Amino acid sequence: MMRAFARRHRGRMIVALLAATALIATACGQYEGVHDRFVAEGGSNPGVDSGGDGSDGGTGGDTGGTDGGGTDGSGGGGGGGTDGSGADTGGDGTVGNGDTTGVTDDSITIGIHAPLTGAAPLRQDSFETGKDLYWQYGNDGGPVEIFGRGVETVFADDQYRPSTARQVCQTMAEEQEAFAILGAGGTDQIQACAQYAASEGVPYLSTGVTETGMGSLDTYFAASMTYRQQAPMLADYIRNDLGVTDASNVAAVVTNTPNFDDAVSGFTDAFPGVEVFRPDKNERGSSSAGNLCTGTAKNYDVVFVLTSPTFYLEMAAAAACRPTYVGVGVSMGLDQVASTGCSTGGTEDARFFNPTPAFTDAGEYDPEFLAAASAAGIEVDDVVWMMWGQSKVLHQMLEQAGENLDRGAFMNAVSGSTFSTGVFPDLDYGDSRFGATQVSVLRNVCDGGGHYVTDHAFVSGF
Amino acid sequence: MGAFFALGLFQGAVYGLLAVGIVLVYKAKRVFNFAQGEFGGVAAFCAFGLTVALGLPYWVGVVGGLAAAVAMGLVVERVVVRPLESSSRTIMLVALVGVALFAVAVTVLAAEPVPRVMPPIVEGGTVDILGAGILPQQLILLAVLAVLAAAMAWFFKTDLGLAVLASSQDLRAAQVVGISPTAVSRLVWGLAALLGGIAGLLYAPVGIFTPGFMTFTMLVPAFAAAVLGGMTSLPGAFIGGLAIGVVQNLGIYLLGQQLAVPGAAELGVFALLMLVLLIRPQGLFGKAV
Amino acid sequence: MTTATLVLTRVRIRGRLGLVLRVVLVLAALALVAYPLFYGGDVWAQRISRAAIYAVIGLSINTLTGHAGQISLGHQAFVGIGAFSAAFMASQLAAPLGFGLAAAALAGTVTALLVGMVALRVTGLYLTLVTLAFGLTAETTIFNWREFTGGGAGAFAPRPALVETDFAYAVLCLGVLALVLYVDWRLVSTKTGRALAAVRNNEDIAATLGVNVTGYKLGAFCFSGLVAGLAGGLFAYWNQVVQALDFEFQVALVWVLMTVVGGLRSRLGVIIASSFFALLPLTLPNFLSGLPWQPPFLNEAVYHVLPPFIVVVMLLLVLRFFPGGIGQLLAPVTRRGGPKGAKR
Repeated sequence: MMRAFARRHRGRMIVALLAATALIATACGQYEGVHDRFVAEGGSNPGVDSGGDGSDGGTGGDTGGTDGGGTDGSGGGGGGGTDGSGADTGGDGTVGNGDTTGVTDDSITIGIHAPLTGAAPLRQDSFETGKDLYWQYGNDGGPVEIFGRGVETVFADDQYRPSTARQVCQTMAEEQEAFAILGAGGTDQIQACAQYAASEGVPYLSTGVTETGMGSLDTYFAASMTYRQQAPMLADYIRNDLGVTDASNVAAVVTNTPNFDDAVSGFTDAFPGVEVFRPDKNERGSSSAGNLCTGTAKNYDVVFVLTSPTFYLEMAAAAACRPTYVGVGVSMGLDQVASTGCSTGGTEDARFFNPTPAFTDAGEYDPEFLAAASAAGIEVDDVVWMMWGQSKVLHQMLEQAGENLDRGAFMNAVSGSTFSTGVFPDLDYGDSRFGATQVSVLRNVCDGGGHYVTDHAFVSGF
Repeated sequence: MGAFFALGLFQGAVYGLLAVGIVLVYKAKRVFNFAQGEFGGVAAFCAFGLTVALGLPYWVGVVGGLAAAVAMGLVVERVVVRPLESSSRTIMLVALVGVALFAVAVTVLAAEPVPRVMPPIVEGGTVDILGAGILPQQLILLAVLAVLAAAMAWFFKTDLGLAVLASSQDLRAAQVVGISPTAVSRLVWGLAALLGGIAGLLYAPVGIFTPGFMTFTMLVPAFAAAVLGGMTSLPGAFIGGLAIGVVQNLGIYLLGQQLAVPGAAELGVFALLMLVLLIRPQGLFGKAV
Repeated sequence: MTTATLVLTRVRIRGRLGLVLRVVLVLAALALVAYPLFYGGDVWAQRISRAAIYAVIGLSINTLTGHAGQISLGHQAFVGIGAFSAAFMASQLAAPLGFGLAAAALAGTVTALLVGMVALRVTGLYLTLVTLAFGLTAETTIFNWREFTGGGAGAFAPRPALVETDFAYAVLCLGVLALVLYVDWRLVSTKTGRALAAVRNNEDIAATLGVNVTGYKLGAFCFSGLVAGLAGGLFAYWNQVVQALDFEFQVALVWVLMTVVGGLRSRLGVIIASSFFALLPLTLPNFLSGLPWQPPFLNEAVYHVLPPFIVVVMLLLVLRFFPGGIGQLLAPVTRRGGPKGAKR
């Protein structure tokens, strides 16, 4: 009987394999060229590849045409093609591409994704209240208008997973018709979403994270310095500001993702001899704490940490030693992290490079922020502050794009332009998509409930 | 290496504490209690809410947390376990998995999934043991584990404990001699929930805690500990817990740090579990069947 | 064996009306899929792909738990290995999609074979522990092997031109689902299915009847692994990026819940429940926040954490009130007589 089953079972497998073979036969051929370019780009960039064909750009245009309230079906389709070729020449040469998804006579829709669950959760309430604060109250307490259009936002939780990020970005761009998408934090998720956005010609703005696979994306703009740019500055900061010059007293704990390789090499090039630990994205922090303080009885003075906040907090809580933590991660600069870290005492005096000055000093850098908060009657925090800054950058970009707003016009207007908000660093997209040269340095203080204060605002070197 | 041994020993205490609860339910009901960890999760979140969010004294948080855990245990017994008494053990297991996920979902809804810190019972710096820094909280955890494992072992020698065992072996006969199966069932689940609650309250202050922290990281090693100890032995759960903790941390040291194998801790637990089940299925202290 | 034959005959006699109803039901289901597929744009095409992939996973678990009576709480390991194999083939070796899917199915089968050879020596509840621990180990060990899986950024699986559009890909996923459904149906309605039923009901009796218990259990394990690996392959190309966090062990728990909610051994029930579980997180938040009336104590952000809560409530209700799952509810219109033999 067993033999009978085995035979039968093998039969099933053969059926399955035959079906698979049939799929192979149909899928052969068109694929080789795509791969060559894929490998040439570092093997991590499907979005750009398909954008280069022009075929994906076409899809984006079609979607815009059909879903965009029936504005101009043929124009949308043609626009998609233009977008595809425009992509190859670096986004110049055309004024607009007719892709007006998300833009109506009186509104512009933008999408925002961030992790609300997973290893780097941000506070839900902050997003609920914060995502619309700038757009509803940023104009002296009234709604922002850009050539007669107000701005509406949609939001999605990317769960700290790249695949979910891509999924929710597609939903926001195509179903909810977001004109542009903002990435609020999480490097791998930002990369996944940015690549999707580039393949569909959707403008994408995030805080600066990795440069891997991002520099060639036609629709991507970094609103603050990338980790690659910040890492050598951080090395200088450790040497000159913290006064730690001996590399054997410095360690780096950086999540094991290819997207942080540029940050690691930037840091170790500038500070040779530093010990580097690469924990996995789904690893618990407590198991790494042993690496820092026990084992070879290492007691580091300074630890450069570029991980999820949860990992950092677990590590800081479990570590028997008390090094000074420094870092560049966007979500590390959140008061939530400082406050939790202070409860365990492990993160006091930690310094993090951040796009914005500390929330505590928000009134000093942008009085309108507090005015807007009181006009809205809401409790604000640093997540709202960060969103405020990013929204302000996007506002200037949308102004720059002019009255006849479409995605092509937006991209052309932003490339080569400069922006200054006083909340985020000054931006200059003259040469590349990574337009920032300044960071602010936040210091974790534990007096009066852990929070960050501004040590330096908008500096370009140490 | 010594430091990792010490780290593992104290990490293992929480596995042992969970394993004691798992063994209790298994001895009495022949059920794998997947909700054991979440009793601790619920207790920790309630205690956090009472002490940190509402600013009440610490003992109020402890009592409140344990009361919440026991209440959850009794509700689970009444709403999930008893109605499913007659269905297969697989269905019962799936239901208890559901209970655990339900508790996690409720904590996520009620309290945001951001990391939190629970203040420890005793403040103070770490104690150096074999080169590892051990928190006072972890010393308490290990002591409580020893006491509770002994207490539960003693419990099964008392008349009440024997009644529990009797009803697990022959329900009808137990009823004949006047043991109420309902009362026994309530007692077992209430006790298990209390044990889980204690585990959660003691472990939460050791690091950062998030919704599901007991289930998603502690439960599998705790089950491995219970299996290693023989599934029905309380001293076994104690020893098993410590052993699993040590194996995990030696795995991190030998495989993770020396050979750069990812996930060394989990690999160590899995290997040990397989080894026990294949070579000595009755565990270290169980009776061969 | 005689009993089984008798049951089959009875069904055939009674089945006239049932057949009509089932055809109607299937047509209705197809219409339900076709409408959003044709009119919902890329977003709905992607959602249908996800539903189909979940349904394939549900059928894979159904084979193991429903037909063979074994439970695996580490199924995400098989799906994940399939997914990373497919992604590896696509991005590192530039193999066409068909090779990617074949590699995924093969990887799933081989993994299941290896795990099964060891794990099936362990019986009863201990098997759940072994599979659970294996799933956890796979997630943290194999899926974090950066050369293979791309570490934190994940592995990329670009689609070939033929199925590059989301519509074409949805059709492919539905095709694979149909294929798996057919194979599953053939498997159950033959001698193999009856042997598996015997193993499920009582291994000792099955052995005395001359059924090779271990062989059938291992066979079911392998087939389940094959289907799970195939689903993983489809999952990889679905969003064209996969990461270890996609295969956390709680995912496997949710998949088991979804199969039980669907109703063990009810193919239609499993497909319905799987689709529901797949689509709920993608659609519910936007649906709720789009409603004209918002409950005062909830906000948009809460909607994002609502779906896991809902699925667990569904499970507890199902187990409590109709243990045969959705399949039991469908029983009046389908062939199967409800949760027959569900107890065990």
